[in-house]
Amino acid sequence: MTWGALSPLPKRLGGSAEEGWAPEQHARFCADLVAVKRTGPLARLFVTQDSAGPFAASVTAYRGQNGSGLIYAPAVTVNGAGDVTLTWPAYWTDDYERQSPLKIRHALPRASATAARFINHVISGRTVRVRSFDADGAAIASDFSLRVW
Amino acid sequence: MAITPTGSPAWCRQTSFTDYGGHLQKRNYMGLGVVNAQTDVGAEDFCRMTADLAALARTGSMWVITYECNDTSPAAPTINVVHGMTGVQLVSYEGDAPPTGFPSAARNGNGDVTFTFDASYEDEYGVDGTWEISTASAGVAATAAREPTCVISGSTVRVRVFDAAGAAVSDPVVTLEVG
Repeated sequence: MTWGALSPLPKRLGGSAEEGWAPEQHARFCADLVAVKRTGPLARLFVTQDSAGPFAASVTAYRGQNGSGLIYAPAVTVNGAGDVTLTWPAYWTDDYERQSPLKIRHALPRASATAARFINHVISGRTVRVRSFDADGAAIASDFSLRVW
Repeated sequence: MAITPTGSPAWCRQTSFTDYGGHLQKRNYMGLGVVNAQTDVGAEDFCRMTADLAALARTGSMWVITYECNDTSPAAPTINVVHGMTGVQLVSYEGDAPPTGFPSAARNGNGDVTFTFDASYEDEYGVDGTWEISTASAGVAATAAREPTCVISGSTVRVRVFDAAGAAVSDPVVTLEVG
């Protein structure tokens, strides 16, 4: 029997389907939560860049495990046409204000364009440098979406 | 007494919010809701939690892998980092000698690698869940124009990397995401 608001945590497993939480359901919940946590992206974002000098770039959309919205977005440094470095904070702060060092392990950028584009990345610690090229391999400014893990 | 978790592992993509304890008629015992947010979990909180986890399980990546081809001295690719639903491998390994439970990879040619995955994986409770590859996408870590392609065939994914002229690239570093 579970007692809802009449019983303080820790919550005891059991009870009915309508008012309780079965251990089998709790076990599935825990296993699947760990599974999706392992592969869930740290963030997905969209970056735009001006096509002419000085090629100003900015993050225009950001969905991160650290928060949703531009105030959580990485800092943007423009290195040149189609060449942008994104830098995340040194530490990750979760919703309970616990901090952990942040290191990016994987990145997948994809160009947003109406013509052929190549888009590549280089990861270094908590930064991701993204370069975009046209069909001939020449550097060119391009908007792109990016997922990082 | 040990129990068997409800339903199937996340990578089967068939888990329902009810497998996690959600229920359309979920309610607080005797209709009494949360009276202290610091000590109580209400049925409303719980229903949101189960529905959102089911949503995440439907779309979460099964594998995210960063690897490096060994083409100059031809050999199986080096798998640098793997994040999988079944485990995380932060120590690199050679594609022809994968740790138990992690994918193998074979070199076909310059910038051309085939990953082989198991048809099913077990969760922490020993529940076996079949897995079918539905999507694969890749990106190349490079300072010049490079583009990867992915071909899914059964339980394998073949990844090739080309330059702007369409020529195969040697020794590329690639991130592969498989769903």
